[in-house]
Amino acid sequence: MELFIAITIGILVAGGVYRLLGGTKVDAIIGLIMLSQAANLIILAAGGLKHNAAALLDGSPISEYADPLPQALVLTAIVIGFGILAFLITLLIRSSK
Amino acid sequence: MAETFLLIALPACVALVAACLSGWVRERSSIAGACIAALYFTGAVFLLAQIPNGGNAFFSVPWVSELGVDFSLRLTGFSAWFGVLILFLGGCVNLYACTYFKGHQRLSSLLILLGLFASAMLGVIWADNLYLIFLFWEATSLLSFLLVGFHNEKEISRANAAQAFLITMAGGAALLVGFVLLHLNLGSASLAQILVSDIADVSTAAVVFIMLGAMTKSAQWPFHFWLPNAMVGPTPVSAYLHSATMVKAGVFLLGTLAPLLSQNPIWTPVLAIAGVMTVGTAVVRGAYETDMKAILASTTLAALGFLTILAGLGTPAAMLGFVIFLTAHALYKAPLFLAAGNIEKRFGTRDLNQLRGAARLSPVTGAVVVVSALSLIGVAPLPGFLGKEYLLKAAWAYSPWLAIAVAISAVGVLALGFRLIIPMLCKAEETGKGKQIPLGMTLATLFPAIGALGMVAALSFSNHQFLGPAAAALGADEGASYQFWYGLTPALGLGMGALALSLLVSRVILRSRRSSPPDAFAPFFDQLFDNIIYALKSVAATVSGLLEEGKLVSHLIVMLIVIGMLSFFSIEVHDWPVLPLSWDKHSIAFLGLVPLLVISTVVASRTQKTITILVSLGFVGFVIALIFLWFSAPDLALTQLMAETLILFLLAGALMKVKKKESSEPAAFRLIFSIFAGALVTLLTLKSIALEWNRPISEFFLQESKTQAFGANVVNVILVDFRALDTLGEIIVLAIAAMGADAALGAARKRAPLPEVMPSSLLTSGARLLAFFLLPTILWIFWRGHNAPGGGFIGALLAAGGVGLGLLSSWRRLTPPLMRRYAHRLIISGLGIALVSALLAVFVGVDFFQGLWFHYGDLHLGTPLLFDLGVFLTVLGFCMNYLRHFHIRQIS
Amino acid sequence: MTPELLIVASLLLPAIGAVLSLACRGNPWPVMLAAVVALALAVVLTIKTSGGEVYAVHAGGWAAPYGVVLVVDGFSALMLAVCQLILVAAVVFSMTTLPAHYKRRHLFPLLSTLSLGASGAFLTGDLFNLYVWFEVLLLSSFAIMAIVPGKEARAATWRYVVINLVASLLFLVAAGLVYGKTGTLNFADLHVSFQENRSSFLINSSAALLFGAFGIKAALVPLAFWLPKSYPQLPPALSALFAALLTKIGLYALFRVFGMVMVVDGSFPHQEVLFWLAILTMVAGVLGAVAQNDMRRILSFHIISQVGYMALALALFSPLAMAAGIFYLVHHIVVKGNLFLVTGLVEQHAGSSDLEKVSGVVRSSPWIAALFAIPALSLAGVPPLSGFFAKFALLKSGLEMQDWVAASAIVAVGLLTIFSMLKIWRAVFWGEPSGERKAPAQINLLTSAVLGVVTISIGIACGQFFALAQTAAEGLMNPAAYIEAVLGTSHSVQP
Repeated sequence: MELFIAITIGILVAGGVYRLLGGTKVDAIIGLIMLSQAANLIILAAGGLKHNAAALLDGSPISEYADPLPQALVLTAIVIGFGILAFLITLLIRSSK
Repeated sequence: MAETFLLIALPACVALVAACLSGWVRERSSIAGACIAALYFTGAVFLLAQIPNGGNAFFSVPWVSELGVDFSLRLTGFSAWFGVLILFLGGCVNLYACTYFKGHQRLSSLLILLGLFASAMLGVIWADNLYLIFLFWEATSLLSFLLVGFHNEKEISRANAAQAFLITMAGGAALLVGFVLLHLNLGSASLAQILVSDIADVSTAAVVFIMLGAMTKSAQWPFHFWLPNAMVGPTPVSAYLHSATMVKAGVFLLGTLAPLLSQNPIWTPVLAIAGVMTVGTAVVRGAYETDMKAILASTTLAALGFLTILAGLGTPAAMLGFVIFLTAHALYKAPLFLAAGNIEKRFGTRDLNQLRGAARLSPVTGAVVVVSALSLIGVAPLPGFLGKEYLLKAAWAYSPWLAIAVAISAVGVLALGFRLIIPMLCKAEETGKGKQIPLGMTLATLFPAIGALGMVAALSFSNHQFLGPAAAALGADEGASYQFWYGLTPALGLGMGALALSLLVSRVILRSRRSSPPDAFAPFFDQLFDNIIYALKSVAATVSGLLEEGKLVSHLIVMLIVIGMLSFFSIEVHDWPVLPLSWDKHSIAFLGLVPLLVISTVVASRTQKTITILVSLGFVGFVIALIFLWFSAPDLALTQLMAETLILFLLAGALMKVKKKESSEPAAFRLIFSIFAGALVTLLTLKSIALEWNRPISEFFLQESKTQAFGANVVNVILVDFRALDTLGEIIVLAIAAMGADAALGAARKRAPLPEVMPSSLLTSGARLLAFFLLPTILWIFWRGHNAPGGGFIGALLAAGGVGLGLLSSWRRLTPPLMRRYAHRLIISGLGIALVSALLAVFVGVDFFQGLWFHYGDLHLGTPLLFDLGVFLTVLGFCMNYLRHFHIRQIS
Repeated sequence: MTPELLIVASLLLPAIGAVLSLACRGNPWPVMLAAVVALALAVVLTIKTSGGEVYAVHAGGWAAPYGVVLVVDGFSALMLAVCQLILVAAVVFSMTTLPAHYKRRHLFPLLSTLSLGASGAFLTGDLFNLYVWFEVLLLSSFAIMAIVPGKEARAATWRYVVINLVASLLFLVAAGLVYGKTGTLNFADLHVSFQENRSSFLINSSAALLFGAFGIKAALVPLAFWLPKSYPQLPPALSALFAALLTKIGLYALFRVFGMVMVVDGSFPHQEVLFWLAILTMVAGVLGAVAQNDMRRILSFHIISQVGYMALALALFSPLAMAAGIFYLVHHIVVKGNLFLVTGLVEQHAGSSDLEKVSGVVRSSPWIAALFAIPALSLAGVPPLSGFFAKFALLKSGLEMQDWVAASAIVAVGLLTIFSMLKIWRAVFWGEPSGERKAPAQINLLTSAVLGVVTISIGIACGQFFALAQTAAEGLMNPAAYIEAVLGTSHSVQP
């Protein structure tokens, strides 16, 4: 499973880089969207992957839960990426004026 | 006595006063000049009085001890005497300048520069710490640049000043390297200590760099060419630069270090050759000149060459010669230059061919020229005679061949001296034009010549001991003296022979009337310099273009290649851990997601159609949300979905406006490149997955989340409590992005027309109904965030969705200005609440951001919740601001 | 005030300033006030840390390495102080030289968030938190660049934004990987963890990504493509701040993360690569400057070459070199900021900064010439100004290590710097004044003069300043005090 997630990330990165290098502004934005998603996945994967073990405490022993810290990092990263991409899109609009 | 060192500040202070009184100085130039000269002369006399005491003084204040830099000064017999020359000639030059530039607009700036320059020069000769020497050394370079470029409205002035500056600064850099090496070699940066060190400790590199520094400053071959070009400076400046300062700094340093460094095998040959070459070059150059100043510049070069030879020998006899030669040169060169200025003022030209009989028409200046030139030629009993004789004596003692070489090269120099005076002594041809020479200039010219005669008198009356201590301080034998007559020696013979021969040569020079040197020889180094600068500029243009021009894509490729290579080569494949390829029944379900993602990725990376872009990107985001959900991250999944939706909404708005352009880059290359990038990232991910570490931090979170932070949703607790600082940064990012939209697109204050969407009553009433349900839902999601997936961010995005719906359904009250106001207020209050929640703890007296809780049974209310509210408001404000902008775009 | 309180105040003041300014329709005064107070606090912190003390604040009261920790040591206190100083100067210039257009578009709150990002980056002791502050800083700079009107400015902004976003992604991934590999993000904890696992240098590949991320921000050639196009587009009041803050934060991060956190057995990952890139950066940057014909452009290229010097100091990694590097950073921020401000004065005075259009400023306004000369000579390394001691200390450490490549690069690039400054002087300051001349605002002259005085005083009181830099360098190379302040005594490792 780890192998597959790693390959998935690789494909996402390849797609993102391909698009990023397209040369137009739209290309750059789409590429960056894809790359930031890949980055989020990498962080999650690097922190260790667990299925069906959300860190919602319900009394189970703590070794049962997935590592919550990478999730928190990814959440922060998603939000920051969200803000930046939104700004990037305004730049795209500005250049079309 | 240490107070003597205050004299360093004297010229600078005089200059400052002149700067403050610039108006007065301009109007009463002569008086000002006389005052300045009087101050300088007083200083010189005071200093002169120190010499009989041996003049030894030392003063030191630590400056940057860690680097070996101290403000330490040291006075010796020689440096005191040199100081006398600097002050004395400085006084003359200032007096001269005040009359020469009488009433000139920029007279006071010239005086400031001259004063600072004199101070810097005193600093060079009195500093004891190597780096302090360097400091003053650089100051002289800088100030001479400004002085030479005084007439900077002329391009030639600017160019030549710049050339001199570059060469002396390059030399300065070499000198610094030499000094650092010397310091590292000997463990001390104090000249006094260095001079008594063992030469065996000094590396040849240090010697080379120091020689380079001194040779550039003193315009030694092959760096000689800047000096004649520096003639573009005003006459008093040239007089000062050439006689006692600037160029003398280099030979001064060589002379000071000679007793130690001449023991290094390369010192003497290099300096002797450079010296002889300089003299030779100077003579050839001077022989073709008819401009008086240019000829004087050549003789300066030659004199510096001789001094370099003497410093190169470094023997006690050579140092004896060094002192007298340096003194004699200073005392004849300054009056000669000043006289050249007088003559130019009087006759309107400096061309010797047009100055026939000038000495007769202008008797005082003429007398000065004749006496000084005779000193240059070395006619007894003028100081120049002593200089020449002791030079030859020292050279002979080292090697007769060297003495002969020196004598031969001296022939040319002496001939140049004759070249100067012979035309002037001819019968007068009154040219008629020109003005009377002002008294100040005449006096200023006369003083140094009188000084030269006075020195001869002093030598005679002091039983030839006058300069003995100065020479002894430099390494000559104790009790040395200067004798006009010491019997018939080979040196005397060589001197006489050179004198006789030079008379013949001067006839030849006089007869040839060519006024410019042959192209093949003199400008060679100038050309070389220009070529180097040209080459430098073209290389620079290329580099600059590489950094600045070019497409963004190619720059990205270069950067990615560099970083990719770096990370690829540090993956350390040989140290590959075993991959934990776990496989269970859930994996099959996950595998179903992979092809979906791959297909949508491939589509998204290639398509050019707006709708396909949006759909495929949406699909990618959706699948990633599912992956998050799969790997136990429900909060991430929710956030990802919401954020993705909003981004796609904005992107859709933008894509509709933007003119389509096809991707222009070659696809094949991009494909290969991106496959490499993907493979590299796959490797990196695999490797980091493969590592198993224990996670004490996460365990702490899981353990303490419920008991200390009162939340079961650990991810949310991390965000609002454990790592709330990250979240604070995050909402600030959103606030900045909101401001950024205004910054890029304008605040759009004006009331935009309302949307002309079909006023569908169904949609409008539907939206109202939805809003009715939405509000409690949002509150609920916000509230449960601490214990279950949800929280401020997700709640705010949901609320933003509601607002978006309101816009679509033409909710008439949501006008752009209103949205703007709301967004603005929401962001401010959100950030404010977040900051307050962080700071409340500080006021209570605990660490900032520490949760303050209020418990009521199972209900826990605390500042983290308040913080989450701040997050909610900021995010909502952010979304509203973007919706507003894009809403306006849609309509307009 | 306790040092802990000072830390919190230093971090939050810019945030409060931004919020207040935003609430007052972009009024500059809250920003100014916050900057002045923050400057005072930073000076106090610098004094408090001058003996090698380290203070830490555990945000939320969670002990390190669990929570995010804010740390101040000599290095970060110095950086805070100089950055706030430049911020004050930049705000003054922005208030007097920029049109109302800028104020309407939130310039002043954005300046404050820019400084917030910088302060956060200097203070944080956590890798991911550093990422967050980097983003705050970057997005502020993006937004500020987006205010600048004009087609060329738009293109430059786009380039700047895209390249920096790639850098941010690299940083993000690297932070994630570092956590994946070590299970911690706290600097002190990471350092301890690297010491304990010194046998296998597992961190190299993440370090490569971090290197790329910081290298792009610091503008190391060949990662510096964003800089030469974008900086000259900014009005000088803003480029002064950008020059002082942005690349320097990249350098700060390099010093902090590579020069402290990742050091194992006296070296850090990719040290050799850093060395060669530093040399390349020095040379390429200064050659770029030599080729330019506009003050703004020349100065922008100088940033690159100067960054090379500082990176070289890190790559040499001897105690003297590190002290030189930190001293260089501090000096450079003041000097470079001031040079851009003086460019602003020249533009106000003569209407342009183009070498071919302006001449004779030394005659029409000797004060501007003097104000230019101080930082220009300092940058070129003329004694006794601050820049001389920076270059000299670096040269000395290079020669001490018998590194002839480094020493010759230091000297040669210094000369070329002089060459390009000479070019400005010859064209802009010398010659006959041409065209209409306006007297620049007194307050601007005064501001630039204050920075000039700071430059001179750093040189005159170099003994004290260099001692500060040495303490800071010592704190980086031997972070026992840092680790103790952050993690408590039990964790300190034996060097």
